[in-house]
Order: sequence, then C-alpha cells, then structure tokens
Amino acid sequence: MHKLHVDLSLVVVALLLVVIGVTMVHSASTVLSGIRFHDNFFYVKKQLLFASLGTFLMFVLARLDYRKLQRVAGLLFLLSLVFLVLVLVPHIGQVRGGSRAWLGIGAFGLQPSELAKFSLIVYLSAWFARYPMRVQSLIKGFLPLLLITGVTLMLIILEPDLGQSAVIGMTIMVMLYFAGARLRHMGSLVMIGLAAFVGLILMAPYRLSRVVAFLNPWQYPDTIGYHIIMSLIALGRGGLLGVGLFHSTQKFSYLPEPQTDFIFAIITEELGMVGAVFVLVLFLFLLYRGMLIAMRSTDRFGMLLAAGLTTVIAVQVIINVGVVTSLMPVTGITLPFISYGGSSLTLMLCAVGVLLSIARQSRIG
Amino acid sequence: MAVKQKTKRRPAIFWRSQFMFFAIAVGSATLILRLGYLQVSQAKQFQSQISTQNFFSLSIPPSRGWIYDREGTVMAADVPEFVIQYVRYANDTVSATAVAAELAPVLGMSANKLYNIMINQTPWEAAVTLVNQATPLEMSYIAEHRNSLPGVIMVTVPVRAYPLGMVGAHEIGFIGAIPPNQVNQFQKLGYPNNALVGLSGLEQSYQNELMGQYGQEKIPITPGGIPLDQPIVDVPPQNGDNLILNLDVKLQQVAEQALQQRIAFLRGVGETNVHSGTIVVMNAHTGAVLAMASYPTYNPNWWLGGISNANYQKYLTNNAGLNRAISGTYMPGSTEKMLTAMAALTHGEMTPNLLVDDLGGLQIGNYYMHNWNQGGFGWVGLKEALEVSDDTYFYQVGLNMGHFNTSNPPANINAWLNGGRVSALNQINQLGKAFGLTSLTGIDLPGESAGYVTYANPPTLYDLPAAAIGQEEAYSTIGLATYIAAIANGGYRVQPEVVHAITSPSGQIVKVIKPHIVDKVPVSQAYLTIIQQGLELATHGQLGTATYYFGNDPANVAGKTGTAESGNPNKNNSVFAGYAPYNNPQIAVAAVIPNVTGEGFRAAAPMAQQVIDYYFSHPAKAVVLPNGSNK
Repeated sequence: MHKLHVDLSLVVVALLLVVIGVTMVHSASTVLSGIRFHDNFFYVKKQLLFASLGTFLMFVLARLDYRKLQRVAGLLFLLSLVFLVLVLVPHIGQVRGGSRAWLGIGAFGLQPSELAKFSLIVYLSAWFARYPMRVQSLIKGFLPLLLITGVTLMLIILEPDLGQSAVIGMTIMVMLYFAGARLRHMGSLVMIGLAAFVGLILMAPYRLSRVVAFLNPWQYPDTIGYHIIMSLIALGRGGLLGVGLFHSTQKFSYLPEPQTDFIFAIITEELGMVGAVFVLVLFLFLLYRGMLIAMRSTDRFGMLLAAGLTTVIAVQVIINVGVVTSLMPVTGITLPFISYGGSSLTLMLCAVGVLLSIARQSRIG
Repeated sequence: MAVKQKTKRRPAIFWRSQFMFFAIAVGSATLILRLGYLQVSQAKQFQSQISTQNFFSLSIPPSRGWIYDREGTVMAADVPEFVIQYVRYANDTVSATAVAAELAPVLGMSANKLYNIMINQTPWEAAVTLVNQATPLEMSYIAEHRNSLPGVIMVTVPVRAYPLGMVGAHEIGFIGAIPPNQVNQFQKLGYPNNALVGLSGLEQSYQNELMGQYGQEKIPITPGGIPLDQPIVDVPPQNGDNLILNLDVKLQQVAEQALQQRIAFLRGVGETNVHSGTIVVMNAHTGAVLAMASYPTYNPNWWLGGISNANYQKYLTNNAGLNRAISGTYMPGSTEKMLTAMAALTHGEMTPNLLVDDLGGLQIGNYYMHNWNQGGFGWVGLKEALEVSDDTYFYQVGLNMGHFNTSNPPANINAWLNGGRVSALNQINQLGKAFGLTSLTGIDLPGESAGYVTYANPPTLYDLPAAAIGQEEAYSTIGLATYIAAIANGGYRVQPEVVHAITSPSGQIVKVIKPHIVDKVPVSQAYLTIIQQGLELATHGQLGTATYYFGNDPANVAGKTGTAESGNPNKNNSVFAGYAPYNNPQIAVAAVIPNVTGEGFRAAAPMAQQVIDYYFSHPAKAVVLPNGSNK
C-alpha cells in the first residue's frame, strides 16, 4: 500500500488527461448532441459515466497483483478472439462509420478490437516471460508469435479497422524489441509489414485515396480531403492562444464527429498551441513514467507488460496527433483518455491501473 | 543460471529502453514542431481557406441592360421592385414560428398561413418570397424590427418593363423562366434556376450582354445549416450592358400602323383571308434596320411575371409571336425578275439588248404560259419588261438560261429536265445566295429562315419559266430588303443589324457594331444600272406597275411590285421591294402581305409608300450615343 503514493504523479496526470478529455468532449460534442439527441449533454454524460467506471477499475487493478494476469492471460486472449469473430457476424456486430466493429450491449457498444489490443499485450508478455529465450529463435519463438498476432490482426482488418491493426502491429513490434528479438528478424518483419500495407492499399482504393488526401487535401476539398482541411482550419483558427474554451466554430458540424478522432483539432482551436503542447507534455510525462516503470520492474512479465501498455498509448498519441496535424493519412485512432468512446477510455484507465500495480512492485521512488 | 541470465539481459534492455525514450522524445518533438508550424506560422493561410467552409448563398439578380432606340427612347427597362424574403436556415423551425407570429399581422395574414409559406413554399429555393411589392409601411416595420425578425430581409429585385408595349415587340422580344430543355446550358453559365432569360428577339440574341452577372450574399453556416456569427460575404451583382438600336421608334410606329391599317382595310373590303404581313425599312448602305414590323403582333409585357392563359391564347392566335419579317418566307412574284435578269446577264445567257415579242404568252411544249396581261405588250426590251412586269419576256429569259428553244425543243426532254433546266435553276439559286435571298442575311435576331428555290419534283417543262417570274421561290422579307439594297447601292450585300451599339451600365460605349458588308455581288455596275433604270420605270414609266402610287411621290422611289400565287386559289402574295431616292439611295424597303385577292400591288405598295413618305418627311437622325450616364 505504501508504494501507491510514490506513483501519485501517474494517477494525477492520467486523471488530469481524463478531466481535459471530458471537458473537451463536452465542448466538441455539444452541437452534435443537440442536433442528434436534442440534449447538449448526451455525449458528455456517457463519457463521464465511463470515466467514473474506468477510474474505479484503475484503482481496483492498482491494488491487485498484476502477476495474477499472467495466469488468466490465455483465457483473456481466447475470449477476445471469440469477440473478434462474433463482431464480424452480421446482426451481432454493429456497423458504425463503415466498420463492423461494435458489439451492442443495450445502449452501449463494446469494441472487441480495443479489448483484443490489451489482451494480446498481456498474452504476449506472459508468453515472453514464460519462454524468455525462445524469442531469439525463429522457429520456436518468432514465427508462432507472428501467427498469434497475425490471426488477431487479420480479424481486425476484416472489420475493417486498419488504424487499430496498425496500432497493434506497431505495439507488438516494440514488445518484440523489448523482449530481445533479433534485429534481423524484426527487420524482415518490417519489410513484410510494409509489403502487406501496400497490398492492403491496393486492395481497397478508398485507403489509397485517404493517403492521397493527406498529401494534398486542397485537391479534394469536398470529399476525402475534407477532414484534413477542416482540421487544419481549426489549427489555423486556434493560433498560439486559441479562440477560447467552448468557442470553436469547427465543431459546428464542420469537423465530422469532432468528439472522437479529431478532438485534438478542437483542443488546438479552443486552447491554441499552448493548450495543445500542454496536453502533449502530459502525455510525454505519462509515457516517461510508463517506460520508467517498465525498466525498473522486477520481473520480465511486468517489464514487458508495462512497456506494451505504454507503447499503445505512445503509438495512439503519435498517430492521432499526426493525423490531426496532417503528417499521416486519416485513420480512425482515438486520442487516449481524451477522445469520446467508452471502450477506449475504460480500457486505457485499466491500463494505467495495471501500470500502477507494476510500479508498486518495482523500485520506483 | 538465473543470475547469469539477468546480468546478460540487463544491458540489452537498458539500451533498448534508452532507444525507446529517444524515439518517444523525437516523436513528441516532431508533433510539437509541427503544431508550431501549422498553428503559428501557417495560421493565416488556413484562415484564408475558410472559404471552403459552408455558406448559405442568396443570389442577387443583376439589373438587366436597357434597350434604347436610335434617339434614346427607352424600349426595355428594369425597374426596381421591393421584395420581402425569408431566408430559410435548415433546422431552424423555432425561430420561424416566432417570426411568423410577429410578422403575420403586418402582412395581413394569419400566422399559420405565413408560417406555412415560410416553410413549405418553393422548398427548392434558399429564400422564400413573402411579399412581392412591399408597401412602405411593411418595409419600415421590418427595418425597425430587424432584431426580432431573424432571416427576414428586404431585397431590391429588378423587374423588366416594356414601356412602349407592342411597339417593336418582335424585335425586342421578352424574358421569362429558363425553358426546361435549356436548364443545363444556363447552369453552365452560372445562372440560378430561377433566373429570367431572353426567350425571343433581342432579349434572346443579346442575352449574354443584357444579363450581367449574379451577385451573392454568402452567410457562413455550419453544414447543419445554422448561421454562424461571422461576417457575411457580399459579392455585388454586375448589371447588364445596354443596347442602342438602329431602330427608329417613330418610323417603327408608322410602319406598324401602316401594316395594320392596310390589313384592316383589306379585311374591311371582304378579304378575310388577309391576316398577316411584314414590312422592313433598312439603310441601303449600312444595313441598319430602321423599322421592322410583323403582323399579327403581341405585347411583351404579357410575359412579365408569367403569361396569363388569356394572353397566351392571344400570343398563339395566328402565330402572333412569330417575327414574319425574318422567319416567314413568301413567294416573291415579280420582284424575282431582277434576279433572273442579272443571273442571265452575268452568265451571258442574254444580252442587255434582248428583245422579246410578247403576244400574251409563250408556248412551251404542250403548255401555254400566259402573261399577266393576256393581250401582250408586243416587242419589249429589258427595261420595259421591268416597267410593265412583262412575264413573257422573263419566260423567255428563263428558257434562254436553260438553253431551251421553243421552236426547236430538245429531242430528249428528260435529259433537258435534268440538265439545262437544273443548271438554270442553279444560276438563279446561286445568285440568290449572294444577295441574301437563298442564304441567311445574318441579322442579329433569333429565328431567321433562309429563302429557297424549289426544284419541282417531278420536274416539268414549265417550272423553269415559272421560277423566272418568282413562282418557284420563297424569300424572307429581310432577304428581299438586302437584295433590293444591294441593287440600289451598287452591289454591296450588307448584313442587316438591329443593334447599333452596346454600352456599359455606367453608359460607356462597350462596342459599336459597324456596318458589315457580307459580299460584293458578282454583277457588273453596267448591268446594275440597267436594272436600276428598269425599277425607276416601274415606278415612274407610263405603264409602270407602281406608277399609280409612286409616279408623283416626292421621294423618287424605284422599286418593283410582285404578285405570287400564294397557294390559296385566286389568292396572291402581294410583294413590294424598292428603294429611295432613285438617284441617291438612302433606304431599302421590302413589304409582303400574303393572301390578297387579285393583283398584289394593291396591298404592299401603298403600305410601303406610307412608310417611305414618313421617312423622308422625318428622316432618321444619327444614332444618339451616350456621353455619360444614360439611365
């Protein structure tokens, strides 16, 4: 127990991000909520609910011994795979925004890909911890791992959710790196990954058009470049100090779904570059703490788990902000802790809970 | 073993972690630098891109150009009308209810009815018109209660007016809603669907010049249709250019009255078949159209604001909307004879000294073709033939052109029908093209019809001589005018022009339309002089067919009457083509009244005389061009 106070900073930063998130979801979604549900607070109420649930789970997980996860890792992963298959079945999986990615539970929806992302990290950490040397072997370690990851990614790509699978793929790469995989194995994997990416783009033209749009959005102002242009206008309007909280105009249905993937654009518009950099610094601190926890963890499972969870957050932040600032093609990746979305927010807070639990065992402080 | 592993693993993990820290630091730095670049140094550029945002656009119609006659008399104008409109923002029914409740008593209707108009009327348009001609009371109320009446606006809409009514109706034309089959074409020009465009006359042919450019009021809104508190972008309309015509309104009125009175007179003496006619007065040297009348006619004001059913029936009766002066083609009768003679002379098929013994007609194979004077005129030369309009003489000229010897007909008649006959008709047709008879004159009005020569099928022995006296052709009145003008002016075929100049809304001259000589007809001056002398005899000679009218006319007119079988039994087209003064031509005149009983000169010639007399007592002044604002 006494170790908890040591990582108070992590708790504070995570909760600060959640508070900023809830505030911004309210600001960004108020117009859309009004139009869709005749209730300006519709989205923020749901977000607050999940923030509470997530915070509660965070503290529960922080008190638990994370090593128990090692024992249920296989079960958890299997459950995620079942969900991933279920979600692909029409009538069971719900289609939103072009992807069959939601399992409906009453008024709420669960995104199995979010769950799979975390359970895969747990499972691989457990696997690496159990067979520490196998990761260096191509046949006994590297290829089976690729198979497990590949099956998961394939199910997610089928939804299709290319962004989520990219996040998972990159996270697994970093975990392999931490687990001590041979660099030449990883090098060839990167090459194969790139080839697969190109292949996927060639298979579905809309992916290519998204790439093209990000390179020159002004060429397609009415169609595929629209998101990016609206995002850039938000950035331009925000300037250094922003137009002020709640004063965004881009949220007036200019930016479609401003409360989810493009919430960072609303932050830049309302709070300016100062606010945006503040949010990034909070993330940077969170990632620093996460990596520190990984480095100082006393066991291999904890080290890999912490590294994996931190990496997920890092990858999502970089992709999300990269998209908003037109450095990357548009992919539907949420900004951790901030974007609207129950599954994402709850599981991110759970991840912080696990990090806190690992920190308790480590030599932090 | 375990300890050894740990010590071996430590450094690797350490370095790999260090690399991760480095990667995250670089990633974050990139994002922050990118933010700085976009938000601070590029901010202005993205703000200027705000134009890609959504706007609620209201089209502001330009004022259409005015049309003036040569002395500055207004023939078409745009007068402002104050219109109250309601701008419909999507998803904004709440404020509409409030506006309807407040505005209904002012506009004198129930709130429910007003609300219904505001929401449901013309749903395809961005704004709905509530009141078309707003009273000062209504306007002042709205001006004072602007804040409590969001979306209610006052717009000045230019409305067309034709102050002279029926005068020059066919030339001015009218405007109206875009016809369904032309919607795409006008959309490409950027016209809104509710634009009014020229549908006839100059309003149609000079649509682009008269129209101007639509302006726009762009109100920034969300894609959901909610107005934003941002400045309205105002693009003012560009008013259309004005037209200054060659037309002389006074002469035009005289021409229209002469035409109408002549038709009324003929109908009064029992000629109920007579219901239409045309007359054109043109400058013989420049082609400037001074007057052009077509009867029956209509009032272009009927079309404004949508034509009523009763007026539409009037417009359709006897095809009153048709400008017969350019769209109607009529058999020319004896006015053809100059063309026949010139074709024969230039092709060497006759000499100017040809004499023909007119015994009252000509035997051609089994057919005997009568002269109009069945007693015959005896020996006549070309000038006398034109003076008395001797048919026999021109039968002979026609047969000469076809190399047909009546006393020794060709052995193979079929070969002649397809050979000599056709090449003679071709000679007439070709020269007709040069004079603007069998070709388009190129007048700046829509709907012109070209005249033609009929090549009878099956061919007959007599259709060539019939063609020689104008029974196998059909020409437009404007074509006859360019023909007689070219005879008068020494062989220059001019293009008839109704418009003299185009001026900008501020009155600056944009373009002066210069006289355009289409070609020099291939007829020598010597031959033209003989024809001119023949025409002078026709109006002044002892036996001249038009001497009765023009013999003592101070205007010294030269011209030719024509009578052509109109197709109705015993009914003839009455035609006149002439110019004046004979020795110094100023104007060319062509007139037609179809379906007259008996000899045609009774109808067209006296009407033409009235107009010519008026012209020389009130000669057309030079076109008045503006030297400043002209509105």
